[in-house]
Amino acid sequence: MVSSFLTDALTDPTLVLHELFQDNHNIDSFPATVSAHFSHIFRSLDAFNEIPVLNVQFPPEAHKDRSLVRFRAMVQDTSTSPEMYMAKQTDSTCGGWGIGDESSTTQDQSHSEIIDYTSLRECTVIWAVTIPGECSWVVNELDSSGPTSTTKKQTTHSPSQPHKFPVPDTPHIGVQVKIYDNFRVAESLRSTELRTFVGILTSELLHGDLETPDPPFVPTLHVLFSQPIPSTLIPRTSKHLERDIRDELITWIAEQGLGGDREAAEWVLLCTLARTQSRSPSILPLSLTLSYFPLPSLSSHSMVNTPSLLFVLSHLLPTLSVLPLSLHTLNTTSFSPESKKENLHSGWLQLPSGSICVVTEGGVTEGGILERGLANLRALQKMITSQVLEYIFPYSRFSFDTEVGFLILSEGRKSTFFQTSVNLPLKLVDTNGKEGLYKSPGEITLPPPEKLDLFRSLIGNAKVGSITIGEKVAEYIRNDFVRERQAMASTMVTGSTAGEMFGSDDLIHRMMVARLLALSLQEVEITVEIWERAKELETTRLTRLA
Amino acid sequence: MSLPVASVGIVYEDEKDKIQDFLSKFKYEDKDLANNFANIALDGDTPPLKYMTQLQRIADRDQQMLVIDLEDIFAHENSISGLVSRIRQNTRRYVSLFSEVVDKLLPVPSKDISEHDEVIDVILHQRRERNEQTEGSAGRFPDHLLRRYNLYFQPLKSDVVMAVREVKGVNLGRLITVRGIVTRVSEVKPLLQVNAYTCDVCGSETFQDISNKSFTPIVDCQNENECKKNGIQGSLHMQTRACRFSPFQEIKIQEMADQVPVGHIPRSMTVHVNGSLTRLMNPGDVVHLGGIFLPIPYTGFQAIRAGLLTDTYLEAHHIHQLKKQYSQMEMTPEIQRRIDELKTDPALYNKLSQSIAPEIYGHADVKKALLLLLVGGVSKITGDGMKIRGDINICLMGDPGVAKSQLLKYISKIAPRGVYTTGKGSSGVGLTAAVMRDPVTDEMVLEGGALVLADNGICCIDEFDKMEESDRTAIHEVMEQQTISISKAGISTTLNARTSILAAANPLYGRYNPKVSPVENINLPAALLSRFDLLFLILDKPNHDDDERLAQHVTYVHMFNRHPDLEHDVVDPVLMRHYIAMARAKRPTVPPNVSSYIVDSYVRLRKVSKDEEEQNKSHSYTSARTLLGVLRLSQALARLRCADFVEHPDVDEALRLMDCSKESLQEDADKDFEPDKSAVSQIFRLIKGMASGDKTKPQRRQKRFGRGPGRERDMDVDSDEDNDDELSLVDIRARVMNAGYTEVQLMDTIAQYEAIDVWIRTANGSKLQFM
Repeated sequence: MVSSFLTDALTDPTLVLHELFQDNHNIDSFPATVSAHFSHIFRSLDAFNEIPVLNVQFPPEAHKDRSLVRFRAMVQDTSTSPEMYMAKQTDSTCGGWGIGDESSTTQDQSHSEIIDYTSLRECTVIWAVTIPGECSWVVNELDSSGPTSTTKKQTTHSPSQPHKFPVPDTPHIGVQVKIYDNFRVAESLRSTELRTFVGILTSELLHGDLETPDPPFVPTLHVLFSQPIPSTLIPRTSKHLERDIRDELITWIAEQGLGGDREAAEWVLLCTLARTQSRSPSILPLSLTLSYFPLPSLSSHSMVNTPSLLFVLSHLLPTLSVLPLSLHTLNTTSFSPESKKENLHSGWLQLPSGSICVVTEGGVTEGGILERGLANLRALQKMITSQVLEYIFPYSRFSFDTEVGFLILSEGRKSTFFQTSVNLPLKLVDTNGKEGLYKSPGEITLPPPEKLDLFRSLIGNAKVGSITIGEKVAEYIRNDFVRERQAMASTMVTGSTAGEMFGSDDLIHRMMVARLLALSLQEVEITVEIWERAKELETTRLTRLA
Repeated sequence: MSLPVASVGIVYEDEKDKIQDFLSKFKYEDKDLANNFANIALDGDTPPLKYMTQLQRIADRDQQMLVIDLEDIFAHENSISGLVSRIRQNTRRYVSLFSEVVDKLLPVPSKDISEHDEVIDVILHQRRERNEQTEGSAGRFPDHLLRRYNLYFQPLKSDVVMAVREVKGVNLGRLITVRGIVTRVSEVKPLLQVNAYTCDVCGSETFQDISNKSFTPIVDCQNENECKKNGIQGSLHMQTRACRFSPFQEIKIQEMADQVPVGHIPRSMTVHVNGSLTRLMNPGDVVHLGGIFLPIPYTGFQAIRAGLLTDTYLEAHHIHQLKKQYSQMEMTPEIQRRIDELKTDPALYNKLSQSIAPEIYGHADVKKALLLLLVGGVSKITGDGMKIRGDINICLMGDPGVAKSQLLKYISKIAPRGVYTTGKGSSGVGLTAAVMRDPVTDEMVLEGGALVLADNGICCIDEFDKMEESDRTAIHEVMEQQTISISKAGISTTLNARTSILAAANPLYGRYNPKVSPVENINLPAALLSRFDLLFLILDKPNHDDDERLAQHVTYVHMFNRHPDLEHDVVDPVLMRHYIAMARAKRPTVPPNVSSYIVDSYVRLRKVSKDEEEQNKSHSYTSARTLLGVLRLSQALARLRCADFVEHPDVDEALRLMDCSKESLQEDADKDFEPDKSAVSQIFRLIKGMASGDKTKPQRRQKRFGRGPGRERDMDVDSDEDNDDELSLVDIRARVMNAGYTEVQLMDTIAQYEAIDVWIRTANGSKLQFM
């Protein structure tokens, strides 16, 4: 029985809607019924995977009009006002979900007289885009299981509203999403939230602007039901893996991406695990600068100027965004989203929670930074330090909480523009060090797939894991701090130099490192050993800086 | 386009009778009378009929807008469920009902209006004449072609103001009030209301009523007598001159920050403005808009593609501009009650000061000073126009990481008009004012910087030391004269900047260097320093107890992901804001005896300062500004008590804060000899001082003492002998509370020292006697 439902829903969702409406004439409860019905049909993972996917490989053109698709997306813009639709048509059939009144198509102006206002209901309209920086292995894992029903089109899809995707000039799918089941989901949707929308794909006019004489047609998804996506994209649990995995992972990152610098690799790993623990008091992700990161040499035979670290990380992390700083990106593109004519244009930094953003400073050349560039730099610095991004609206700015880890690659001894919580000079170990930093993706030696999977789970699990501190360790840490301060005070009295004070900020920072270290070690509690190890890690880092 | 009525059973003919009754009988109320005095021809004692007078003016073409105030209907009917609620439910319909009644009631013009004639009137006149000749069979014109007024409803004053996101489908067709900021204003365009045609063949005019954005022009002549009979087609031509247009504007409003749930994107709404209401709003205005929420169906091609979908808009009926300094200070009975409660709290000063940035531990005196900064002293303008500043300026200087910025941010948030800026990010122009080109109108405008924006508020400037020297001098004027003078781009003006300045700065080279003198560390010119009433130096010195407490806090936060519970109650920011606003309304004066006391203190301070200077120990400077500073601080303290007079204890506390401020500049070496700083010991010293007139703290203790019941206030009374070392506990309590300690601490002190036989409680515990 279920299977016939399934095939019906897959082949002709519109028909299913009509049939459902026959049984349920209450237009107020109908949207909830629809969403319950369809999520029931596709409740099992297998059934869910049967739904054709909408992504860059399978753009809207590859799907038939009004076919059922699932779209893994980031909510980009929720500012559009709701749209009114006829929940019941003149012939008492189902309305909404893009089902047009056949009879009305022949009429023009006169039909406005016959609209029955009592059956007008509203649906929420939002704009959703492909998850920015989604790594290809995630796409393969989540989307390949779907049927390759439709023929893969060779023509590249050109997004109709390119300004609504954070990364300029990148292939992506942008879709106008219409949600009918208002009260449960739509009202609570926020910008950069991740969600899988399942619905009927069609093409409609861009909603919202009455003034434009000729609004463009955009892909439109009439949502039947939707599901939240975890920030790791692939659900993770805190399952224990072998202990050696961590070492192997660090070695692999070091060898393939960092010229053999294991310490740097460890810090990179810690940085990728960071997430916002709480806002007040603020326990925010750690940001990392890898300084003395060499520029690609011009003589290099391969013309790759993307650090291979990025390719390495893209094999490990679910989402990885790269922000190549250059005078061009600073002065001409926008980092924060900005509302222009009631249309929220995206910016580089409109990234989903849990993603990692790598900022490369290598592309910056001599030249002037314009006002916009300054605003961009300020926005980025603010996001690094306080994980808050301001969206610009006319006459006002609104702050949005973000949760993005930052890794900055800088050539100098510190980042040119930004202050991060950790600065670590890179030390190349390999003989062909510099060359090794800029390998083409093909040159990277991948570990066996099973191992790679383990690496990914280690990172994923750590990302969702939680850490506690026992009272005993807490006391140890307290005493440690007091001791250190006393020692500091005595050196100050005897007086060589005023020197660096070890203050509260340093303690907070060290706590954060200890937490991340514990997460990467698959621990659930900070122990004295981990605390000491974190201290050691910090000390060696500081000696490197000196 | 008319809307269906949900509740059947309303007989519109009856409604029209009611409307007619209202319009023809409603009289001006007294308050209206005062407002519209100029417009009303007075005849007799009875107040004129409000709407009938207006109708006459409309008939005379002196008035275009007819605003029906729902409050009037409410007053007329004395019920909110009757006509008023039906109008609010189905406004569009009632606009036409009212218009029909108005058409019926419209009197004949009382004067010659021919100079106002439009083409349509001419045509009308001609047709009327021709009809008379041909013994008219053609009917009269529809009334709406002849309407010369725009009818608007003004919502009830009690109408709930909604946010854009709260407007839902259920509000369709209703009169609602929405608040928002105008973000975009289209040009005013003519909107076709009546399209006029003439026939090539018979010469008769045809009129077409337009209610939609798009329409199909008529091509065939509608003249029944000739063209229609003869079957002539396609002979109509549009006559632009005879058409009727109405001004039309499309406006976008956006939600305000306080209406948007945290983490959401503000929504916007389209507003259509017609007729006389156009050109009343500009981008950036904050408005309350009363209007009808209406759907607008897609037409033509859009409709075919989109199915039966509609867009929505608000048809504006009433525009209420909010003042720019709109602040959300709404006094509720609940808050009033809590304020009254707070007023009677003896430890009010302490409680409020502890509630400033409660998550920051310690800095009790700094917080007290900040509280006084929020309250402020009294500004005065002397007879000859001299202005004496009442605002208190404070500078916090200290090592990095001692929560200076948090304090600043907190203050900028809690102050009614607080602006936070960093010295590095803002040039002198950014702080003071700039001449800019308005992006919308392209005109030169004078734009206020942070200091002007914080007029009557507090401007918090972080990284004060990193500011350009030239920019800092711009602040000199603000800090004493409280104005900003600009002469730039042909604009020469003086702007008010009556702000308090709260600055935070790092010492020279970032960290306090104990090797060099405080003056070198501070590194700000004396001219600027003297303008700060208080300067606090906050250093990060290792200290076992503090370090442990801090480590405890940090570990706690990481253990539980939240702040530990606070040791004291916190007055919540909303209440605090209200209390401060109330306190600021007070204008306490200084009675003569207190003023002489202040003078004495000042003389003493000058002497001390001179001594220090001779010993080369001085790090600060006592000038006439110090005297004013003491006055301001005492006034602020009196304001805080909601008192009308400054009293001695206020001055004492002000002097104490000054001392603290100065003390914080002393070097470590001095501090080591400071006596025990625990609360118990301090209270003890205080009481001891009261009893004996401590010689190290001259005169003022004695004077304070002189305030005992029945005692002279003259300073030469030697109170020691009279007193027999017996003190009233009531006095002690008042003194101790005023100095910022709690009842518990006081009792603790008394008990502890009683245990070691320093004093005993006598007279049933109401007095304290030293052994």
